[in-house]
Amino acid sequence: MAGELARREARAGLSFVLPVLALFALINTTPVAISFIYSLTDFTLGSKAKFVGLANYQFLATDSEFLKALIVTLKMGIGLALPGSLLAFLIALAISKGSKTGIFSTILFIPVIYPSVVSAFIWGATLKGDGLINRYLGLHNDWLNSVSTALPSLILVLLWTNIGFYIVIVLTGLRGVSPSFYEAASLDGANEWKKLRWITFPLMKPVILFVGIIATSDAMQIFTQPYLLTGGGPIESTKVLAGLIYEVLFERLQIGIASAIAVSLALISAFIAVLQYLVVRSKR
Amino acid sequence: MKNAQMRGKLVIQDIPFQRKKINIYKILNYFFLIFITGLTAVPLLWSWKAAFLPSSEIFELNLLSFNGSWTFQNFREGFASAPFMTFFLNSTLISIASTVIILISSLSAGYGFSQFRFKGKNVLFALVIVALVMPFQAIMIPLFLGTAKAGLINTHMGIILPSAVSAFGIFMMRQFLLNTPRDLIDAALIDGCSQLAVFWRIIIPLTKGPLATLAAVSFLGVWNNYLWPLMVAQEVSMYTLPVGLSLLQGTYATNYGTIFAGSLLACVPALLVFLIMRRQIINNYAISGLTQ
Repeated sequence: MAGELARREARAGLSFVLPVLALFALINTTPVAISFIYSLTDFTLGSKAKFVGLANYQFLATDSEFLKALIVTLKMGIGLALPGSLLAFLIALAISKGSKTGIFSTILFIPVIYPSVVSAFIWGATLKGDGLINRYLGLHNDWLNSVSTALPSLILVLLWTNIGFYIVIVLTGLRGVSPSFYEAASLDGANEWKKLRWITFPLMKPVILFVGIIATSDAMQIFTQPYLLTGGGPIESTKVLAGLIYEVLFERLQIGIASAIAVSLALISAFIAVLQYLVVRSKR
Repeated sequence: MKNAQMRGKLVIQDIPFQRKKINIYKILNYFFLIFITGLTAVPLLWSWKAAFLPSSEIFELNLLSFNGSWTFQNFREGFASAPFMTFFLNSTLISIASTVIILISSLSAGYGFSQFRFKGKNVLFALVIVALVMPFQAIMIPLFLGTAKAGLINTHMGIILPSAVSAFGIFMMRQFLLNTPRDLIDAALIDGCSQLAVFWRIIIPLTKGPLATLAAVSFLGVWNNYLWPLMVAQEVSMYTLPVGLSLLQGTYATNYGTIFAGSLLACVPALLVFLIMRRQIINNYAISGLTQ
């Protein structure tokens, strides 16, 4: 009888899970596998695909275009992660110290939920040659069209977009610090700075690191802002991996190579996810 | 704890260790926050203002000045000569349809994963976890070729399909329902309720809170999405707002006035959803960051 009950439970459970998982397999699991298979072929749109083993990966390992895009993407990741995590810590600290500061985190969060295309329009108009920034600072830089400023400008845009998200994560961490630590420190005569230096900061270090990792993984998939603001230029100084995939796919129709880049991107993301998991686990 | 956060009951609060301190720090603190928030808000406010100004004044008018020649001309132009209405309707249809499917599929799978024992559950759930960290680029190429093969390029269906199932949604619903006492469901089953009736009468009402949060987050994600609709929508009649606006720059709408009018149209629904569900959305982001 117990066996019958268990069977019935299994049947009911599967009937809730399987239809969804079938759809899920169709639009997620299977495409991942196919991406990997494509990456082992010389598939180009309009011609027969041939199995080429790891040749695409060997090609990428020495392809200056891919390596440059990889470096630009990593630069973007670091450029977002370092200032992003530290700034988020500072702002979250300020928010947590004041009273009635919920309004600040709400406003700072708006860019996170803003359509990225609209953010790109706004920043395009802000950073262009006769745009807002130059007008107000009396400068004549073409921020998005010069090799030295294009990437930092994009990083600024991404920082503006994501900082609200990072702040919220640090705030959650700050709320987790037991007040008894601070009470004990006060009894021992510690001032605010000492408490910050010896309690808050050491306890928040994993959270800051965690935010840094999230920022890096965010940067890996960035597409919209470089695509609309710089088109990867000038001289490919802002061409990121996601942009390169799009270009190889839709302009050169080289599905095999594009898939190999996509799989490499997925591997980097998986690596970052493992780091993230380790940081979260070490915190507990 | 997690439960309370999921329901959106835990509010961003001040942490409790504040005490009466020399006020100068407090004041500096507020100045810092006002400065940072101002820097963040200025580009947004400026773009809202620009939507109601003739293009010639957008850059000329002082940031803080409100003495412009206010006009609805940009919107009139957008609706008359550029197909703003088509974009808006496409975006609305696609976002609402995707959100509804995400809610149903996430709740169904989350319920199955949390309340039932069956063989292969862990393997199936592992697929969901892997997808949680998979970048879109890893699936986008086969997805596009498959969509093309199925004849779904340039259709609403083709745009909706990939966003119809959310790994995060399944994960979130499972986490929430893990804390639901099994007795409640067993009691209903013993009373003669069918599995579907339990789902409909108990599980859905029970998960109203997390469902609302998931709806808000999913709507925002689909509404703001750019890359996939850019690939699939190939004619003006299928463009969503982000795709349409980005591609019209230079064809219909060469001036910034129209662009910003369209931008306002694209951000108002997102802002409304955010303002209504502010706490839940922010909390959800805080947790999703930690569960990624």
